[in-house]
Amino acid sequence: MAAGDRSDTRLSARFGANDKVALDETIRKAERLSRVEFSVFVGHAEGDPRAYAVSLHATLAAPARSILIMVDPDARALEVVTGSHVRRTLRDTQVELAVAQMQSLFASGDLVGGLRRGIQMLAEHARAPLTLHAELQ
Amino acid sequence: MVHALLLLGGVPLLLFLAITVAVYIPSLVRGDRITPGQPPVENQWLGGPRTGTAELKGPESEDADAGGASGRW
Repeated sequence: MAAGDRSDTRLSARFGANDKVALDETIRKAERLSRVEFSVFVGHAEGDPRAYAVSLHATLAAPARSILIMVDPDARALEVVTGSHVRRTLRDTQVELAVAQMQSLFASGDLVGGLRRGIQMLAEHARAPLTLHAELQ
Repeated sequence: MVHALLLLGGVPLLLFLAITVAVYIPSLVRGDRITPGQPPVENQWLGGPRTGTAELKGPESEDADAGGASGRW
């Protein structure tokens, strides 16, 4: 798809039961892998999407250890907010890669597929690197 | 006469009601919208706070060093 080309494909903004099960499973696996908490918000962003997503992130139980993915299907807005602790292992450039992948799937009308792929990518990048040569004190 | 009217009017009416109930009850039980048209965007959380979006906090209140990325499609 050319840059700036707004696809006419509309995302179905309501999850079915199977979609919720699939997303819950993806989130559980991602949290086990990365040891950070994932939250997904799909809905209407009031005002500036970025500011709204940051506000939503602040309402989570442990914002510093959480990743929030916010999708506004009407505004075609996607925001990923990472907490300060998460940023130690997950750089913003890595988040941008996941966002690009999600954008691509959203543009083809696949909301659930995009979310699942994005969560998986974020979890893989957020996973703390294995320490192979830890010094014993 | 009355019996005939009840039979001719009541049976179709009962059938109509029975079919309507059979069609709509499963959707209502699942919580689906039954009105026609494009469904509005409903706020849905997966793994989010229990309080919803009622009490939003400012970015400086909990984790001022938040990062991430944005995208549009």
